[in-house]
Amino acid sequence: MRRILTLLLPLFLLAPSCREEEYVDFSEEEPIGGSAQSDARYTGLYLLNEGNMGSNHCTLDYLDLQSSIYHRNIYGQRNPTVVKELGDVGNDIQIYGSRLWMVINSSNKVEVAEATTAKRLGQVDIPNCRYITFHEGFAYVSSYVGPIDLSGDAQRGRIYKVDTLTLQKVDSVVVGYQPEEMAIIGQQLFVANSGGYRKPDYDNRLSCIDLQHFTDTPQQTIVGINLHRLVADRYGKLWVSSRGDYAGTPGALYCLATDEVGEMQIIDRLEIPVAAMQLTGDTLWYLASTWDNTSGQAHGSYGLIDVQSRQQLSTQLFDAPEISAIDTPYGLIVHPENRDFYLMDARNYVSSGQLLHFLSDGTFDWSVRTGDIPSRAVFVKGTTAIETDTTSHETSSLLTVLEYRPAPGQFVNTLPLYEAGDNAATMARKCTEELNLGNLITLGGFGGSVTFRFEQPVVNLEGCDFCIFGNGHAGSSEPGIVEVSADSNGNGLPDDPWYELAGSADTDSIGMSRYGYQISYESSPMSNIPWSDNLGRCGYIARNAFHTQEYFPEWLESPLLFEGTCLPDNGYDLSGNGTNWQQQAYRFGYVDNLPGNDPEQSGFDLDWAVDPISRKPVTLKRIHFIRVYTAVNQSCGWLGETSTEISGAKLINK
Amino acid sequence: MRHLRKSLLAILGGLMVASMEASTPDSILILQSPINYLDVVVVSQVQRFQGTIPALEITRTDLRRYAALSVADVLRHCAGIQVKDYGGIGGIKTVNVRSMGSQHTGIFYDGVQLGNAQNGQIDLGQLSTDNLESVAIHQGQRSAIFQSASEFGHASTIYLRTRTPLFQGSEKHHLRLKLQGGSSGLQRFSAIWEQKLSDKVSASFHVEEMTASGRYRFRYRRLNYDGSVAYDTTATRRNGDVQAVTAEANLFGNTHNGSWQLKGYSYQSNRGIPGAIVNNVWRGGERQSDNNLFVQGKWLGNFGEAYSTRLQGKYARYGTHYINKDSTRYLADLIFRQQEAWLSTSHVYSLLTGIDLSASYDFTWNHLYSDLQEFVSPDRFSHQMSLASALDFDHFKAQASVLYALIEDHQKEINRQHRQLSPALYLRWIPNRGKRFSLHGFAKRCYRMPTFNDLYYTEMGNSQLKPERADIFDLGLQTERHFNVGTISLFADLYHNRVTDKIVAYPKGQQFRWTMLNLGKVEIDGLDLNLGYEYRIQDLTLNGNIQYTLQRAIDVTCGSDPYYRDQIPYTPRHSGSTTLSVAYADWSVNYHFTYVGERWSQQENIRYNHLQPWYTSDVNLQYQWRNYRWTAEVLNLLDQQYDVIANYPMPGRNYRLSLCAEF
Repeated sequence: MRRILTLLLPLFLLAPSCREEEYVDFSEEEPIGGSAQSDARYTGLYLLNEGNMGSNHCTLDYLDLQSSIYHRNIYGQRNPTVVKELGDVGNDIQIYGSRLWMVINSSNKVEVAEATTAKRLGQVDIPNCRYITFHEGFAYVSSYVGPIDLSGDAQRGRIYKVDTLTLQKVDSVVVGYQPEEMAIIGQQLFVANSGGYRKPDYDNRLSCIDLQHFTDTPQQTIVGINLHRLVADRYGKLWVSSRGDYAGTPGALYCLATDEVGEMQIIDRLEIPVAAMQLTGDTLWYLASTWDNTSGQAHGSYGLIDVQSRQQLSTQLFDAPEISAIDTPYGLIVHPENRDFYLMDARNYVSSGQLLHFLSDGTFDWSVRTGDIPSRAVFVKGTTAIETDTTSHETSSLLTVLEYRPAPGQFVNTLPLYEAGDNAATMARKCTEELNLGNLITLGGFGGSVTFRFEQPVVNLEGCDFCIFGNGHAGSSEPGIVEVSADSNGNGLPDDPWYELAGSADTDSIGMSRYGYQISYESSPMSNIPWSDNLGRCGYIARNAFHTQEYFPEWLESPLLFEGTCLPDNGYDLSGNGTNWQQQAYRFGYVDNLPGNDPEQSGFDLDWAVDPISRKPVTLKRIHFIRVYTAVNQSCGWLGETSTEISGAKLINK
Repeated sequence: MRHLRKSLLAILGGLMVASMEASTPDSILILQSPINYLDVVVVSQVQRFQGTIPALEITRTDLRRYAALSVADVLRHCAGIQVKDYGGIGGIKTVNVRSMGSQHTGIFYDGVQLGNAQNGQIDLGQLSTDNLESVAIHQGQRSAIFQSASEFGHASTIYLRTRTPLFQGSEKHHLRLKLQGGSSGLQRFSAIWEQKLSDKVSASFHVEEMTASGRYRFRYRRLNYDGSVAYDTTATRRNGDVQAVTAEANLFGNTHNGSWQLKGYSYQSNRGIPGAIVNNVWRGGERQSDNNLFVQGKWLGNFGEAYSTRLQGKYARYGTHYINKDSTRYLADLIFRQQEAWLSTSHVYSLLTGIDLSASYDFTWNHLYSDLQEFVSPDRFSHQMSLASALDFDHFKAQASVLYALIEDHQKEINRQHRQLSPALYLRWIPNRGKRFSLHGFAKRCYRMPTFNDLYYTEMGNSQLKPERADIFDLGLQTERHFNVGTISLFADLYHNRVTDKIVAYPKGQQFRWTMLNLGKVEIDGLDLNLGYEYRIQDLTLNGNIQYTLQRAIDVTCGSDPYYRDQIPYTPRHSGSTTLSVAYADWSVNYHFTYVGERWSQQENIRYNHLQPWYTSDVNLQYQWRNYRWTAEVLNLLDQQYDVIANYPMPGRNYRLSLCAEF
């Protein structure tokens, strides 16, 4: 018997795993490649993945446009107590006010969450719900489920009216068969009826509902069979897609306008089998999809239509090879401002799809894996404080340099290295790389600066809010002043008012700092660089034997002008013969000043903010941009000019 | 083939009324084994030493040990077989042998294939084991070459054999009654009447009625990452009720030079389709009723020592009525009706001692009708021709066969013709007859036709589908040792299968609606191990069986697919089962453990598709008192909450009690 047991045991050791506890869906994070797409107006993009029917794989992804991080499947982690997560077959996603509305078709519900966090606020139970639109505080949801026809067994559809505040269904109205998308013009709600369940007797009518009385008006326009997408342009025209019957009758796009008696009539028909479309300004972006029976594959085509002239615009936007490589084109979303765009590839429907990003000129930027069948997306405005998982790692300290303008100096063109062909953008990128690796960059003489941002805004909390690191050590302090700015115009560029974080010199050396000090450097290839200031003084940045490269930043134009607060000199020669120069540290409040990387030595508090000229304190709640510039104009013998160097920065977690 | 002749002689000698299937070599042991079901003799799952390649056979004593409700419950315990189970008594249960997909498995009931041209899925949950003599699983094809052409085309074959009446002495009839009740409102009654009509003719009748509410509790529980409970919900599975009636009549006859059998079979059911449990949806509203009828017959004639012939025929009607009353879904009321006619003629000729030749021809007609909108009923005409030869020497056995199939599909103006050639070679080497050790191997090319659903199902069907082809290779050994403390048998197989143009079905809400994909190429490497142990002393019998399967079944369709080289859906890498039985005098206790390792619900092996391993323990206690046998069962003893198919929760701990009386 023992022999048998010894024979049996190894078999079960082979079977390795036991059942484990099941945890809530894990949200995966993936930094996307490509350039940063910082955009203060739209901070993120929610993407809804349909998931196959019965799989309960409808998932919500979030692209953080500020940090360029893609968060896959966030719903479970944000809402761990919701049984069986987001649900089965996501069909639509919209933002109205501060709320995110998701239509989950086979879960028979509309899920309502906070737009900023995707945390659940409640749900509205609507059977077989399809699409959602909003008007004056009410949501209108199309649903396949209505009363059974008198004529037979066909079921008509319904539009539900939902109070967006209380999430209560307040009314409903019966429309045609299997209603899909809706559009509103004035006080009229138009509904595209598909009749998809009645194949081959598809519906072809556009219903019109009077929103004031919420009743179906007798006005019905016969369009094409199997209607689906519907948008209204600003000229009062409707654009509606007909899906055809997937066989003899191809899909088409119809344009409708009101006639003399105020009824919608077809004014144009374009032979485009539109699968998805979005109106941006006067441009209708569309994705058309045709099924090729012989290859057994869906073929996508893309285009733009000018809704005013109803003409297709010729474009090379969709010429990128990455577009033709898409397996199953399924969704499309265009950034309303920047016109960069995203395409969704559903692949084979039963595995992860992908989201592809293209710049506004059609250049492919990056792609990322999504959930199953990515289909609809929505941009979210304002600040989206997406929390990462509560056990999460530290706040990211990755920073992005937006501008690098050093003044001339002995390390300029080497920290970081200038190479032929570099320009302001490539030098800024090199600075980003160096700083994120903890390497030094130089700012050169007085005024030379670097401007950067963190992945998220800096919020003014108790105590120091962020640290900036230099190479300061005892007797070698080369102070730099920190300025901050909030992106108040929301354009993502550091072109808003700047405020200085006042350091100890304001109180320790009253009257010795010069505010609004201006300096100008003239290029002088391979020789000393002359400067002149607004006090009528002049001098030069002297060359030395240790550094033999050009000292004037090669990618910048001469003259170089700088303005800022000039701190009192801190360097003096202890030896008296020029052999022992010391640069004394200020008490606090400057970069590359005190040795050490703790907040006591290198921390900055937004509470220190002042107007750079009037020196009046200002209150800042949050800022987006940070600038550091060399704050002394001095030369210390053989040490040369005093220049601030920095090696990185980080946000302080609280 | 020697055994074939032996068995034929046995029949000729009129020793007993043997079934037609007795002409398979396997039957020799059946004839020799104690078949009196009043005995409490427990026989292990002996791997037969007959035939070119050993098969796994589960005989009646084993069936009883499993106390199985249906054939699916039996196959769950077999190496290399995965049962897809949608949960509960009425949930569909299909089998998948060696990751090949259920359509590659031919299921034969008394030698005649159970067909389903509509979706190729045979719901083994419908097939009761009460009137079965044995269930045999053959990798590739059966060893005997005397078989119908349709038996040659599969990657694996499962044979279900009806109990053949055996009358001892002056017995004229047998009656067997069984009453069963259990969790989920299970009530089951079956009656088998066997009647000796004359010395040469006997009959059996089997009626079975089953009802169940299909309700059971299930639980979904998730934890936060800090270990606290995120949610923990218990709900009741609904709309899983079943009502089913099976009726079967058999006539067995002997002639002076052969035998014949006639069978009529009817299965009628009405059941709910419980559906997937997803967020906010806790019950479905779909219903299905089945009305399946078939008659089949066969005749075997032996002419002289060298030549035998068999003629078989079948006519079947399978009706399915599908209704969806859940107004939140597509309201449906659909009828599907399949018809099948089959005619087969087989011939075997013994050329020389140890050398046999066979030839068979089968004709099949399949038809599917549906009142689905725009559905144009397809017809399929299949002609299958096989040639086979077998060598049988003391130390060496070989079988070579080739099947040629010509299949014509007609639907509207679409006519498609497929020609398939399916060769197979089987070898076995027995170094020493006395030592009970042998090596075997085979290579085969087989195919499966796309089903009517694959091809023509409205919107989902893809008439461009190609037949799925598979090349299968196997190398195995079998040995058996006798010790003082019992007998150990070992059965090990290494296999490599390559499937091209694999058609894969994914559930799409309604259980028989699928998305069809030519998944492409799949590579399967596997190991099946089967270790048996048996020990008897006086009234005590100990019996143990361990099955283990290691499978690597990966998708190798295209290097750029995100799921390239990922394990295919619902295929565990590790799975296995254990059976332990102790029988003492009138009592026996049986313990079954089933383990299925982690799986993936979709093609990509990513965390969101991951399904946890599951393992269940089932125990039953049986007591025989005179003509009465009591069986008490506890299933899923540890109350594991698991899904075999994602979102189709399985029952937790549940109970059954039955009483069987035989007269």
